[in-house]
Amino acid sequence: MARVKLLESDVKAILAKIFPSQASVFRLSTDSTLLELTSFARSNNLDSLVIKVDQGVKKRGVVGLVKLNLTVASVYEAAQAWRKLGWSNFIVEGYLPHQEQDEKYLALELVREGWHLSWGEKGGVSVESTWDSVRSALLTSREGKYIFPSWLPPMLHPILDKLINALIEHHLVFLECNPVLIIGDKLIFLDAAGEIDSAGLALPGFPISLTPVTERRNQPVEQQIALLDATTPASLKFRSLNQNGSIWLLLSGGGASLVLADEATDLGYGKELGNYGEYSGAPSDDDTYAYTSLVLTELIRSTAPRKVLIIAGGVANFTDVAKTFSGIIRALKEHEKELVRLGVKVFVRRGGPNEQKGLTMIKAYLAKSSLLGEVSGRDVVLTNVISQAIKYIES
Amino acid sequence: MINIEQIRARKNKIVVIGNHPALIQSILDFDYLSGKSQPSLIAVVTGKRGYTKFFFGKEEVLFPTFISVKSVPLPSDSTNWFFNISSGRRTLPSTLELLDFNYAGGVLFAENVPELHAHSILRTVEGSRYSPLILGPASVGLLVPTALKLGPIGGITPLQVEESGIIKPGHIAVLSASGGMTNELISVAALAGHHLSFALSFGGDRFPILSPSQAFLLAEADPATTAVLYYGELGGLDEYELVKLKEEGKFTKKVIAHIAGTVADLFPESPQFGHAKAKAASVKDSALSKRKALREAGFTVTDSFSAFVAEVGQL
Repeated sequence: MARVKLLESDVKAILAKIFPSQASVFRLSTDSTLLELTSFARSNNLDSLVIKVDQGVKKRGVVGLVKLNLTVASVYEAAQAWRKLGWSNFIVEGYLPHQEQDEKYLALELVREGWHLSWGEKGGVSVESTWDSVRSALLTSREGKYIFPSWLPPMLHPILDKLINALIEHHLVFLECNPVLIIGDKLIFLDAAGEIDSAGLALPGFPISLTPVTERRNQPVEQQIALLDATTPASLKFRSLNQNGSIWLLLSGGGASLVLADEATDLGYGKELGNYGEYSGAPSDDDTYAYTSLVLTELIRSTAPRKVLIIAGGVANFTDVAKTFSGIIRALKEHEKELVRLGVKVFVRRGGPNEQKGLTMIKAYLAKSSLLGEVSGRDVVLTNVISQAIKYIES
Repeated sequence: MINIEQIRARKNKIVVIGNHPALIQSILDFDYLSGKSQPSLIAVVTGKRGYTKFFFGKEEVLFPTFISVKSVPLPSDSTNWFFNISSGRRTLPSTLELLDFNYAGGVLFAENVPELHAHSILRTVEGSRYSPLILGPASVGLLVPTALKLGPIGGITPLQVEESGIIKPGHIAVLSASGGMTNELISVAALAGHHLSFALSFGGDRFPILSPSQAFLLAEADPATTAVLYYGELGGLDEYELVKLKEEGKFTKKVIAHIAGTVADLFPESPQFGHAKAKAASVKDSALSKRKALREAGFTVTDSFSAFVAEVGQL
């Protein structure tokens, strides 16, 4: 697991816990009604509103996913128009009129040496064009207090002390607020993007409940595999690349998977990749069965004339090759008729515990069912399987 | 910090925290196949007082189990190591306990150790007067042929341990972010007829306790090592530290490096890959940028893995 993006509404909920002056926000999801939106605006005395797509997208201001100074009715309309384009989650808040030159940039990130601070006097939508004016420093701490660089406005010191403590409490390891405004002795976060450390989130007693960010128009299969991944201690990843691709990947091991998918890209077949998918962390045979079934369904659906399945990985340290292969074979058997009819060939390369047993088993099955492309073990270079598979789709 | 030559010269003993019989047995298989008269394992911290059984060759051996790290008596005439197989959330408290004792180093095996926990461990290690050699989180371990197998590195079945050629000492160091690719690199070296001086995986997490540049310094200081095989990934800026080492003349040995992650360019935004660190946040930490920087500094960097294998064949 790793850093995951948060919804802006969740980042702001965390900020509101420590800065009571932070304005409240409304999360406009698929189930929100106009009535709820209206009552949010009324109870907060807001005549003029802002709506933004809240799905972890960067540079929303630049790509037109922010609308300012709207009435309740036009906010609702804007959301409906965006929904037609595939967006589903929005954040609504009061519009705070201000001068563009008052917009500042603030970012904090946990790095190896500590907290890395960036502060820009010229923030806002065009911050990238004034990036040279953003100053950075690594913050050191002494007796629980951070030592700030002299160029940072002194009024920010106590605010940042509080902010960093809140980031630590919530395992919020990256925060970027652009723009922020300084109003009196307060810092107002107009925009906030954050990334949380998922390993920290998984600790017992995590202080706040969070909504996962849904990416735009996620393929159903991506969602199904994400769900599968969430219910097993092993790691199961799937990203759809080209639904009509000819090369389908069932890779194992975090590193080897990258190397194998890279090889297809480096040989000029990146556009033929149907998916990027990998399993690791000693999945059970039920895990690999369920995972393989989903990948095979996508492979069968692809309209590519010649298709291959590549089951490959490095020399595993402790994932049992025979065990994971038995789940894969079960899934292949279920789809065997269809795979044979489509002329699909399966290319295998894997090493590790019970390598011989696993390879013999899958080779016997593939040969019998006439799905056999090639089966190899550790004595063959990891990436050869990719060129063999490419040769077949080109034949 | 202990160096590789000292590990080779001294008697190494291991305390395991947590129980994973196959991993532990592989350490004993390595010891036996290396011709040691005694296993390196001395105790397993399981949370219960008692004994646990493993094989040393064909002979069954009993090892004491302990309730806590504190109650393990450490021999004073050996170099002592820990292999911490606690879960991700238990890794911080158990490691801080371990760091109270005079271990030469250890391996943190768990994935899903929170970044802030790794940070606490890092700060404690930096402040320690023993400066222990700690690998991980998410590391498969440290291997020094004839001397030490600390973790599943190199394989966990006796056949694997025997066939992977990790028992014979050689001159190639394997340094890798990925556990699986550590074994792959060991295997590539073996297929080219080379044996290892040592191998280690610093793990694919964002804040590895032993950083890649520290690992390179271990290889530089090791007289047995003549060349390094390095595997890195997109994400993070560790490779720029390696560039600095090279430019400052602190690292001089031959390196063949492969940085994976060019497939990320097929996506509109770099996805999160298998390892926690494997996600490019900017152009600078993309695989291509890092390959370029390393190449310009004078490392041999390959554009595909098959080219990497070919380079190793030339060694």
